Amino acid sequence: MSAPLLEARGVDLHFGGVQAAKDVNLQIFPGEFFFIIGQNGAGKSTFLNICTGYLKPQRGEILFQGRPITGLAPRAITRAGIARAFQHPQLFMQRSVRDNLRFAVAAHGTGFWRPWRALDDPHFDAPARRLLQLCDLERVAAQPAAKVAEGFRKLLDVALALALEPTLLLLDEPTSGVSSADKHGIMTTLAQALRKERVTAVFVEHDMEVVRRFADRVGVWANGQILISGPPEAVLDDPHVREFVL
Amino acid sequence: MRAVRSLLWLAVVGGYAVLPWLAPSLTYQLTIVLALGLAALAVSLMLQAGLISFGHALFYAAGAYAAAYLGRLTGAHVVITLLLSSLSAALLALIAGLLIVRYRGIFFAMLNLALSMVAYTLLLKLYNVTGGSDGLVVSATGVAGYAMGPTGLADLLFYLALAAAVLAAWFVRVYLRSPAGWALGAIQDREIRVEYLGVSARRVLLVAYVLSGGLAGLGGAIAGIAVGHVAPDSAYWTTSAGFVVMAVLGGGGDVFGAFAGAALYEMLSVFAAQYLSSSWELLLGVIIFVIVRFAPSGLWGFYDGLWRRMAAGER
Ligand SMILES: Nc1ncnc2c1ncn2[C@@H]1O[C@H](COP(=O)(O)OP(=O)(O)OP(=O)(O)O)[C@@H](O)[C@H]1O
Ligand SMILES: [Mg+2]
Repeated sequence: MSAPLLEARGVDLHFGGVQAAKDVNLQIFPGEFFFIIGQNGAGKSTFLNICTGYLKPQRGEILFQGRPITGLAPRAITRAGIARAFQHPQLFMQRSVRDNLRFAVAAHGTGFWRPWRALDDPHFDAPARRLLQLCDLERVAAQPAAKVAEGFRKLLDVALALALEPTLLLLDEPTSGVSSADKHGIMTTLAQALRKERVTAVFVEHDMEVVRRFADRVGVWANGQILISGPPEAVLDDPHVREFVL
Repeated sequence: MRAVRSLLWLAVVGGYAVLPWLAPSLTYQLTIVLALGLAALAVSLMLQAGLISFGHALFYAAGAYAAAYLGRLTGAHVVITLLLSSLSAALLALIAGLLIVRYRGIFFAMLNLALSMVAYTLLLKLYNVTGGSDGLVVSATGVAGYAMGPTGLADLLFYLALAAAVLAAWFVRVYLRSPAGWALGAIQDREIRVEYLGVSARRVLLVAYVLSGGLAGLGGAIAGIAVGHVAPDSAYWTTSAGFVVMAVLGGGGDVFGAFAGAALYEMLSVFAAQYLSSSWELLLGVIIFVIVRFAPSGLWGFYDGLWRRMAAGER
């Protein structure tokens, strides 16, 4: 197998008495969709927050493409090629979906600091258009983010991350807060977009249907620890997992 | 519609430019409005990021004091004096900004206030350098060696101030439409997302703060030369509060707002000085109340709203 893209080694983090990460060891390989499952408070978001530099582990190491990134600031980690989408979409709510994307494009590319290059310049607009199409957001492009349905916000949150042309994308519950009817549509759109952009992805997900359908591998979190990880069939049908986690 | 609006802009600037011919006695006041407008523009620039500065008089005063010093050094060449004064204020903003852009909300407001009050005290106490409470004379008597009479200089200064205001307003407008300017609103809304897009919010704010300091300093230098004198009051917190009031009166929605706010503020203060000797604050209070209650987006919002309604009617 190829070298891991992301590797966690013995990561520990506690908030006061709560152990949110406990000796977490994990390898994520290029091209795979890894799904993290587990009950509320299991430490799933905490793990993603550690990987993106939002939280600093008290012990252990995170390696990205073989280089340690433990404790780097979110901005440095973003620049290194890890992007994220949030459990609660973090969007520029008063601005149009299109402007949100143009800004993300500008943030990533060249020309951000050139005052004479407006945000609606084709230099930013052309990649933004492509992302609108890729993430199925064309219909709502002109609307302010605050006005569109939650499903579109979730997609936009991911699209902003994709504008950075990341190597690895961490998605914290990309379908939470969306009706179960819309979930599969959103996941299909996202999965296609990620495959097309050749982005490796780590998802946090509560819906086992979704996990079964889209996961290459699954890891089960409980009390900050990884109980078991492996292919979805093996993990989801494990009697222990069925009893305690699902 | 757009063309009509652009023409209206030209008309406003052109109209303002001929005012000193129509009413020569107003030249001084008209220059001061432009100076105050630049300072209000500086404050409204930071307002784009949701940051209120109660200390921008620091940069205004820095510009004016720099003009006083440079006036002596450069043989009183007005243009060079204005440019260098503005740059000095921008440099001061860069130094102060390295600390200040770490703070948000009330802390940003208070830290600006604190620094300006430190500066005020220094201006008062360092008598040998600053002239203490007497302040300094700001002399600028000509251009490139040609001495000019007082009226000639006042006219020259007015047109320089107008040119500076138009250039500054145009530049700020262009800047606010660029990613780094757009980022100001984005930081107010979701700073965490800005950081997760790989952009340093602090750097964005620092650039804006330096620009803001330079604008306020330019205003201060113009005012200093127009008055011919500068005193520590120019750094006092009430001066800062005045800029905030102008920015809010104007609405900050666009660069026009700052100048409209400054014009209204100055008109009120002249009016109050003549007819309401001790009730200036009362008048100001009523006006602020009316704006906040009935036109919360200020004069600009009111003007913009009219255009929007007209555009909607056209369809
Ligand atoms: N900033 C914090 N301060 C204190 N405790 C925290 C903090 N963040 C998380 N925790 C605690 O750490 C544990 C793990 O939280 P985390 O958010 O990682 O759970 P999760 O698996 O993402 O849950 P959910 O499915 O509800 O999103 C929880 O007990 C939570 O209360
Ligand atoms: Mg979570």
